[in-house]
Amino acid sequence: MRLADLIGALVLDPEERRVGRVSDVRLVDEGPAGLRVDGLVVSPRLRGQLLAYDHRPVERPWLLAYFARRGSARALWVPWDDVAGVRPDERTGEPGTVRLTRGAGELGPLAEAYRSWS
Amino acid sequence: MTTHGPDPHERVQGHAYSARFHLLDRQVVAGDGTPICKVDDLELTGRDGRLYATAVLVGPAALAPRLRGRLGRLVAAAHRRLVVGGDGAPPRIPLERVRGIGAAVTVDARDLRVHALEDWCRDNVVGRLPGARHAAG
Repeated sequence: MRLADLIGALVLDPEERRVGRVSDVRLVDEGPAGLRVDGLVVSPRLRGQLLAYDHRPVERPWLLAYFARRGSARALWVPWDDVAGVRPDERTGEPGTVRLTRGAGELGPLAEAYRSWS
Repeated sequence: MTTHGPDPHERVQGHAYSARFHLLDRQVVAGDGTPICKVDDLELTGRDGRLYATAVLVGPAALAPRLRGRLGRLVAAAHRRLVVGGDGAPPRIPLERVRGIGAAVTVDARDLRVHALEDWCRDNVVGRLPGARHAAG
């Protein structure tokens, strides 16, 4: 699998309802073991992207921070353990699909994850 | 005598990265700063129930899947026609070679060959031209 199969992938809950699209992937350095996929930032919008600072809070400059907060206000954090499976699309250039183990209502907002990371 | 602390961009266990911000499309450089290529994609491998980024992928075969729709398919098709040897899989830099992730991604570049088509052209086309061994002027 490649990162391209995740970024932009359509995210579905266990009932195949659309949750959003994968906007970013958080990787944690585990030294010799490599970079582990910690989880996904999911944007509820089905088109467009969040600002590039998707998995970290933008605090300055204030104007950028304002738009970043607005854009990511409804973004969700999906720990990798909540991913049931990833199905890449067979055609090059088409996004794949990520299926979750729980519904969107059970996922935490990205803002909450920010606090735990800092 | 001056002493130097650890390079702030050296990989640190426990540090977290945003794939889109810290890795994708970042310049890959050797330890001396020589540019090598760009991070076009990352190879992900499952291990012990978890998923790990195991290599940096480089070149058109790596980039094509990120280009949506017809453009991605065109780039992939063009690459398949130009590929020299191999199976068309993109060149990969194993993650063990990645020494630092910062403004650029620093790798151990010893014996690294990621530009297969350019290398082939240099060795088999340009290198055989009269005067190829001499510098101009």
